Amino acid sequence: MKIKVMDDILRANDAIARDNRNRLDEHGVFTINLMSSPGAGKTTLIEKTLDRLGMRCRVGVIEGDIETSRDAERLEGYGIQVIQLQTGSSCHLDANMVSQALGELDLKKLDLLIIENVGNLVCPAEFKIGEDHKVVVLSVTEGDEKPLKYPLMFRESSLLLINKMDLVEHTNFNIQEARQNALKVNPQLEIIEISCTDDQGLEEWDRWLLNRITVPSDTPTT
Amino acid sequence: MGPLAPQSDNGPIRYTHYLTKGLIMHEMSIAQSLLDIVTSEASRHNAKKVVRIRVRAGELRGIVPAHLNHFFQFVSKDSIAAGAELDIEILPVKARCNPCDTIFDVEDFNYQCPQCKDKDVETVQGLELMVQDFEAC
Ligand SMILES: Nc1nc2c(ncn2[C@@H]2O[C@H](COP(=O)(O)OP(=O)(O)OP(=O)(O)O)[C@@H](O)[C@H]2O)c(=O)[nH]1
Ligand SMILES: [Mg+2]
Ligand SMILES: [Zn+2]
Repeated sequence: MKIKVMDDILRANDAIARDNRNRLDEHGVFTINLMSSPGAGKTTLIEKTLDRLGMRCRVGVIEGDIETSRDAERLEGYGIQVIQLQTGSSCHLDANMVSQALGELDLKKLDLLIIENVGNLVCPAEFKIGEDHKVVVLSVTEGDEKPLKYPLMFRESSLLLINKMDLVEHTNFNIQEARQNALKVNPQLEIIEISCTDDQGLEEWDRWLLNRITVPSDTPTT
Repeated sequence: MGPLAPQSDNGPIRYTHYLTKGLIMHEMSIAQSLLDIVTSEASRHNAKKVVRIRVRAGELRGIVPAHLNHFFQFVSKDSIAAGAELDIEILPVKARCNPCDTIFDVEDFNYQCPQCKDKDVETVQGLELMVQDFEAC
C-alpha cells in the first residue's frame, strides 16, 4: 500500500520551537540565536554585549557546545544567568535541548536571551529553537564567499554581523563582495560591520538590540 | 518600555547535559525525525514493513542525499523501515517576483526577476523538507 504523508520532516522540532517561543514571549524575553563558524567571535561578542548593555537590561545566555563548558566559564564573572548545553555529539542545538535549558532559567528575570549555537555554518540553520531572530556572525578571516557556500544560514538570519573588521586590511576579504553575496541569498538581510577588538560598529549593534528589547510589540513575523 | 533593571547575582553556572544519540551532521537528526514520522504513520495503518520512502528536499536545505541515506539506514536498522529505499528528490530554487508575479528559476543565487528586473522577490521553492509518501506492506 502507498501511504501519503506530506509532512514536514522537522515538524516535531518546529512544534517544540514554537512552544519555546511562546514561553519566552509570555515573559517578554527577546531571544536571539547566535550562529557562526567556530571562532568567528560569538562568545567575544556576548562578553562585549554584557559589558555594554549589562546595566541597562537583564541578559541571560545559553551556551551550546559539543563537549566543553569553556564559553560558559568565560561568562562566569558577569553574575548573569548562564546555562551550558553540552550537545554531546550533535553539531547544532535543537528545540528540545533549548526547551530543557529554558526550564533551568528564571525567565521572569530576563529581558534578553542570547543563545550561542554550536560553531558551524551548516547544521544550526536547519533547526528553529524558539528564537525571535537568528543572527549570523561572519569574520573577515573566513572569506567573502561564505554566504554563497552556506546559503541557508544567511537566508534564515535577520542580521549579519561582519566581525573582526580591525583585521580586514590584512586579509583578501572584500566587504562589497560579502555584502552582495549575502544580499543575493537574502535581500532582507540587515548587515552591520563590527570589531570586538576596537568596538567599531558595536553602537549600531546595541541599537539593533535595544530597539527590540524595549519595544515589546515589535515582534518579527518569521 | 521593557523593564530595565540592574543585573542580579544568580549564583554559579548550572550545567545541563543533553546527550543526543548519533553522529555529527544535520542529516542525522533529520534521519531520526523522518524515521519517527514514517514508523508512526506505518503503525497507524497497521503496516508490517516499509519498503520505499519519498522525500522532497529543497536545494537550500543543503541535504546530501548520500548522507541522509546513510544515516537513515543506521537509525532504522531495528525498525519496520529497516532496509527501506530512500528516494530523495532535490527541488531547485524558485522565486516569485512581488511586483509582477513572475515565477522564475534562481540560478547562482541571482534573485532578480528576469521580466521586470525587480529584486523584491520571494523564495517559493527550495526550502522544503518533506516526507511525501511511502510504500508499505
Ligand atoms: N582581531 C579580532 N579578534 C577577535 C574579534 N572578535 C573575536 N576575536 C578573537 O577570535 C577568537 C575566537 O573568538 P570566540 O569569541 O571564542 O569565537 P566563537 O565564535 O565563540 O568560537 P566557538 O565558540 O569555538 O565557535 C578569540 O581569540 C577572540 O579574541 C575581533 O573583532 N577582532
Ligand atoms: Mg564561543
Ligand atoms: Zn517582476
